[in-house]
Amino acid sequence: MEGERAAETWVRRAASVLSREILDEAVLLDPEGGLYFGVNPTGSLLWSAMAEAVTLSELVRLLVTRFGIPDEQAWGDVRRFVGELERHGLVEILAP
Amino acid sequence: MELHYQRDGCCVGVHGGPRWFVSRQGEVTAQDSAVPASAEGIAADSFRHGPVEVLARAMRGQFCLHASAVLVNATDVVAFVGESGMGKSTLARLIQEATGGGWPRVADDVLPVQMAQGEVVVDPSFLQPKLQPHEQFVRSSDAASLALAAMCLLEPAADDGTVRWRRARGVEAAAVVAGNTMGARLFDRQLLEAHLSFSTAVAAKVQVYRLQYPRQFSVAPQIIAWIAADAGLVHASREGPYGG
Repeated sequence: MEGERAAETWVRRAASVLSREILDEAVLLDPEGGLYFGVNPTGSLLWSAMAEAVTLSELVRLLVTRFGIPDEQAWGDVRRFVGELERHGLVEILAP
Repeated sequence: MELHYQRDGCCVGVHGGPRWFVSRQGEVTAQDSAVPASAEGIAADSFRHGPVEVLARAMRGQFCLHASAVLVNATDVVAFVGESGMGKSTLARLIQEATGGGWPRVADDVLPVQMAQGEVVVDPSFLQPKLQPHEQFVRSSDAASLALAAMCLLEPAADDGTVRWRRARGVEAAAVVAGNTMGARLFDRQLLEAHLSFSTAVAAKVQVYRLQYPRQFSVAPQIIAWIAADAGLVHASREGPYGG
C-alpha cells in the first residue's frame, strides 16, 4: 500500500484474525496461516483502534495526540504498520 | 493424518488406520475396532497416547508444552523448551544427576499445563515417551498441585561456551509459550483462540528466559545456582543439595 493510500482510506481488522493484549503489546494470530505476530506498544494502540473501521488519518491523529510526534513521522508509522498488516492479510482495506 | 472438526468435537485418525472422536469436553471414543498399525506403520497405541491425547487435553484447556522439566522443590517446576537438538532432555538429566535426584525430572518431552484460578498448574500425568518405566514421575494423589515457575528457551551457546540468560517479556514471552506447544496444527479456530489466551496468560504469569547453554555436565551447577537464587526463579528446598 505505502504512499498510494488516501488519507481517508478506511481500514479494520480482518474478521478471521485473533488477538490478545499482553502488557502494552499484542499478539496477533492468523488462524489460516497458523502464524503468530508480535506487535509493539505503538502497533498495539493502532490495532486496538482498528477494532472498528477507521481512516488512516484518524490513526495518524491518534499517534500525534498520544505521543506528540510530528505528522510526517506518524504518517510513516501508520503506513508501514498498516502496510505490513495488509501484506499478511491481517486487515481489510476499504475504499475511501 | 485425518482430521475432521464437527460442532461437538473432532474426528482424528491415521489415514487408512484407526480413528477416534475427541469431544469438546476432551472425552475420547474409539471409532473403529482396534487396528494394530496403520498403513504407515504407526502404532495405533502410540497415536492414541500421542496426538489424540494432546488434542483431548487441549479440549479440556490443558495444553502440552514440548518440554523437559525438573521439580525444584515441593511444588515448583522449571521447564526447558527449544528446538529439537538444543538439549532439553540433556539439561534436565544433568540437573537431576547434579542434584543427586533432589530436582527430579517430571517431564521429558511432554509437559501438560493449564491455567487454574489464575495460576499456571502443571499436570505431570502424561506418559513420558523418552523415559523408562522406572523413570516416570509419580506423584501421590494427595500431593499439592505443581506450579510452573519458569520456562527457559534453550539456545546455542556462544563460541566461548559461556552460560548466558535474558528475561523475555510480553509478546516475546508469549511467542515462547505458543511456539513450544504441541499439536497446535491440529487446533481449529476455537482451540486456537483458547491457545492464544493460554499463551498470553502463561507469559504474563511465568518467568520466561532465553538461556544459552553449552551441552556440558560442567555447567549444570551454574545453571542450578541460577535457578535457585541468581535469577530469583524459585526458592530451593532446604533439603536439596543446593538449597538452604
